[in-house]
Amino acid sequence: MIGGKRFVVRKRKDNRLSHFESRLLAEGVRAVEGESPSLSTSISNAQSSSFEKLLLLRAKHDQNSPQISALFSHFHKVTKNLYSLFAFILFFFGATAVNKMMFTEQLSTVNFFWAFTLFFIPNLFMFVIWLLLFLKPEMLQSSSMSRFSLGVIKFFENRFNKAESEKQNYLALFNCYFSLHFGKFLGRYQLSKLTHLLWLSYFTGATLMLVLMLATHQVDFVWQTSILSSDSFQSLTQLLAFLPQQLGFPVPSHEQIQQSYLGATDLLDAENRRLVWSSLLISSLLLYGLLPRLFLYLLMRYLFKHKKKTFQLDLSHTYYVQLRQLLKPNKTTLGITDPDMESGKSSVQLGPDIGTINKENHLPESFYPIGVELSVKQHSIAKSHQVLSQAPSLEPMINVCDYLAQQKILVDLKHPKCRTVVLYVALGRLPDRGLKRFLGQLTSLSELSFYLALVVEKKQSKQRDSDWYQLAKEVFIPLDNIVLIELQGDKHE
Amino acid sequence: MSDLSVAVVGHANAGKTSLMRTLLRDSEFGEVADQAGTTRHVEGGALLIDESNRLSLFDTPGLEDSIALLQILSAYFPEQNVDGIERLQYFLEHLTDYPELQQEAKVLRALLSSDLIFYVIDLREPILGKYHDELKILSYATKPVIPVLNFTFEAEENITLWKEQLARLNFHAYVSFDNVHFQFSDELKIYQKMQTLLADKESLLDELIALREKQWSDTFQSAKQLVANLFIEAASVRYQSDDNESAISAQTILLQQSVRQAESHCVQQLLQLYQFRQSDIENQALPVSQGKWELDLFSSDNLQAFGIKLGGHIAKGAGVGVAIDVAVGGITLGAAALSGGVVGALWSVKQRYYNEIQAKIKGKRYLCVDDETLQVLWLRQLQLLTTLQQRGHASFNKIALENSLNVNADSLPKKWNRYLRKLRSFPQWSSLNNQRDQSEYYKRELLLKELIDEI
Repeated sequence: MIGGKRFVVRKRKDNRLSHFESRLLAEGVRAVEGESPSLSTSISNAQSSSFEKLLLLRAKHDQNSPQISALFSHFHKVTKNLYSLFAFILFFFGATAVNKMMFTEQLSTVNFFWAFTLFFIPNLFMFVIWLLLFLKPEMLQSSSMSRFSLGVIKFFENRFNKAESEKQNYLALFNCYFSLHFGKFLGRYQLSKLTHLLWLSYFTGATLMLVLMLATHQVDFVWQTSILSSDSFQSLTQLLAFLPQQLGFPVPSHEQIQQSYLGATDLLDAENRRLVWSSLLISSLLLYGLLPRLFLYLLMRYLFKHKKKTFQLDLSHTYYVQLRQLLKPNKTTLGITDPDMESGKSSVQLGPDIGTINKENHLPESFYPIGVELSVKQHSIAKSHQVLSQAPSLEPMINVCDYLAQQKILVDLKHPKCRTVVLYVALGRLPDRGLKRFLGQLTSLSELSFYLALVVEKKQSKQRDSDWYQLAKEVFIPLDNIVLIELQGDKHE
Repeated sequence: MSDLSVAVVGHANAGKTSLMRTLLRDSEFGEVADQAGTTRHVEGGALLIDESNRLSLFDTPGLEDSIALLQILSAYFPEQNVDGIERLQYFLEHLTDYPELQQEAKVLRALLSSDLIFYVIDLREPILGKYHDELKILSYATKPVIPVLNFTFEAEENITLWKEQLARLNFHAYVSFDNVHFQFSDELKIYQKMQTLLADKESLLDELIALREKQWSDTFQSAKQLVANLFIEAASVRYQSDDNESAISAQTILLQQSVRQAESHCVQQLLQLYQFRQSDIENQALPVSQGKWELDLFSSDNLQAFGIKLGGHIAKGAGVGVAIDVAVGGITLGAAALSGGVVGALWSVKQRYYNEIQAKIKGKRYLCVDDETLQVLWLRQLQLLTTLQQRGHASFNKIALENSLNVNADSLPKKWNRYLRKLRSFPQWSSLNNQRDQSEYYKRELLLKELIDEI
C-alpha cells in the first residue's frame, strides 16, 4: 500500500518521476502500443533534446500514462503485500519449527548439535544454491523461484483483484512490469531480496520463539555422538562459540561442554549450564542465521535500488528504432532555398509516338551526316546507317562532342557541299538546353534542310520520345524529317 | 545550428535528386523523372549529426548548357589574368544578360555558398565535351569537389574511362555510389572522402560516420529481430480443430490468414525501418499449407526434454517436501519429500502434455504451418532484407516477394530441424495462438537470439 502510493504521490508532488519509474513508464507505453509506435503526442524542442529524453517525455504525456501508472502502482502494491505474506508465513514456520523440534512435552533435554544442524544445514544448503544462481543470473531468471513468484502473483490477482485484472491492457502491462522486475537486469536482485527476506523471517520467528520458550521452559542441553570423538565436539563447540564469546554472549566453558555429554549427571552447575547453552543457541541463531540473512537482504535491497538507478532502456529494440525515426528523425528538410521563378517545363507528351510513325521515312539520296554527342557504339551504328543510305565516299561523319567541334561544323555549313544535313543523335540521350542551343544554331543556317536521325539502342520511355519531338519542333525540324534508326541484330535500318 | 553544406551538382538526369533521396533515406524528396529540367529549384535536406551540427545537402538543377556557360566565362576579362571565381561572380552580377542560363546561375550560387561539391556523374554516358566543361566550371568555384560515379552497376566498364578523364582534370578523390544498387560502405566512403578534403571538419565527420554506422547497424539488428520473431510466431503457431474435414478446412483458412497477416505486418515494419514506401512492395501471397501437428511422445527430443523436466520437477517437489519436513521438525518423517517428488513429476507431465493428451482424448487435432511454407517464409524475408539493404531510395522498381525460391541445405540454417522441433514444442511462444503466455519466455529470448545470429 505504502509503496503503491509512493509512485503516484511522487509524481503528483513535483511532477517528476525517478530514473527507473520514467523508464518503466516508457516500457509500459511500449507494452500498450505493441510493436508499432505512433506519434500521438507532440513534443516541442525535439531537435535540442536527446532521443531518450524525448521518449521519456512522450511516455509521460502519453494519453495512457495515468492508466499505466495506476496499474504499475497496483502491481507494486501486490508484490509488496505478497512478500509480506510470504514473510509472515515463513516467520510462522520458523516459530513452529522451534516449538516442534525442541519443546515437545516428552522431552526435557535438547540435543544441541542436532538442533543446530536442523536449523543451519538447510540454510547453508540453500545459501550455496542461491550463491550459484546469483552468479549465473540467467539461471536465476528462469528459476522456479521466479515462476513460483509470478504464479502466485497471478493467482492472487485473479482471486482477489478480478476488477483490476479485467482492465484494458492489463495483461500486457502485467507482463511488462514483471518481466522487468524479474528479468535479466533486475531479476536476480529482486529474487535474492525475496530469498533473504524469507530466510530472515524464518530465523526471526525461530529466534523469537526460542527466546520465548527458553524463558518459560526448562530444558537441559546435551550432545551425543556415535562415531565422532568427544575431542572433536569440544573443538567444534569452541569454534562455534568463538564469535558469540567475542561479542559478550555467555558460552559454555571446556568443563561445561564435557559435563553436557549425554550421561553426565553433575547437577551442581545445571542452571548455569542451561544458561550458557541457551545463550550459545540463541546467539548462534542470531549470528549465523538471522544477521547474515539480514545483511544479505539489506545488501540486495541496496543493489536492487542501485541497479534501478542505472537501468537503461534497450534502444536497439525494433520498437525504439522505429520510434526514433518518428520522434527524432536523423534528417530534416531545408525546403527550397533558390526557387524557380519561371513556369516549370511541361512534361506533357506532345505529338504522336516517334517510334511508331517514322520508321518508313527515308532519307534523301545524298546528305551531310553529323553525329551529335554519340558514344562509340552509337557512332558506329550511325556510320553503318550512313553507309547503307548513301555512297560512302561522300562525306565522313563527324561526331560533335565539344565546343570546338560545334564551331567547326557551324563554319563548315556556311559553305555546304550538300543542301541536306542529317543530325544523328542518340534517342537515349537527354535532349537538354545545350543540345537545343546547338541544333538551333545549325537549323538557323538558311537554305539547308535538316533531318533528325534518332539512334535507338534500347527502348526508351514515351516521355523521352516526346522530349525529342518537342526539341525538333523547337528547332524547326519537321516531324517528317525525323528518322528512327533501330539496332536489329547486326542490321540497321 | 552549424551547417556543413554540400551542393549536389551535375548534368541533367545524372542522379542528383536520387543521391539526395538515398543519403537522406527519403523517397519523397524532390522530384525524379527521366527528363531534363525535372529539378528547377535549389532544395535542401540535412542529416542531423548532433544537437548543434548537421550536414546540409542542396539539390540543384542540372547544368544543361555548360558549353555556352564556359564560353561566356572565358570571354570575360580578355588579356587579363583573372581567377575563375571572379568570373563566376561577374557572371552572376550580369545574369540579366543571359536569361537562358537562369538554371546554371542557381547552380553557381549553390556552389559559392557551400563548403563542398558533389559532382554526380552518370557513368552510362560517354565522356563528352560538356562534362569536361562542367568540371572546369566547378573548379572555378574554389571549393573541394568529390565526383560521385553513379550507375556503377549498369556501366562498370566505363569506370576506367571516367577515372582517366577525372585525373586529367586533377580530380582524384572520386567515389562510386550507385543510387539504385546501394551499398552502405559506399556512403561511408563519401564521408571519408569529405574528411580528406575538409581537414578542419574531420572530427565532425568522424561523428557523422559513427552515427550513420550506428543507425545502420541498429536498423539491421531491428530488422533481424523482426524476421526472427516472425519465424518464431509462424513456426510455433498451432490451431486446434475437430477431426472432420469442414472444421479442419475452416481452421486452415484461419491459420493461413493469421500467418499471412503476420508476414504482411513484418514486411510493413521492415519497409518502415528502412524508410521505404509501403507501395514499394509487390507481394505474392505466402502459400501457407497446413501440416498436422505431430506429437510423438517417444521421439528422442521429447523424451530428452521430458526427462530433464521430469527430473527437475521431481527435485523441486522433493525440495519443497524436505523444507516442509525440516520446518515441522522432521515429524513428517520424509513423507513430505516423497509426496513432493511425486507431485513434481505429475506436474511435469501435466505441464508438457496436458493439452496434447486432452486433444487426443477428445478426438481433436492440431494444425500447424508445414515445413515447406516455413522455409519459403524464412527465405522470402531474408531475400527482402537483403534487397532493402541494397536498395536506394530513388529506385522505382517494385520489390517482389518471390515464392519460387531455391531451397537447399545451404540456404537454411544448419540447425533448421532443431529450431523447428523446439518451436513446435512451445505453442505458447506465438502471439498468433489465443493462449499465449509468458512461461519459458526466457527460452524464447534465447532462441530469438540464436535465430538473429543465423541471419
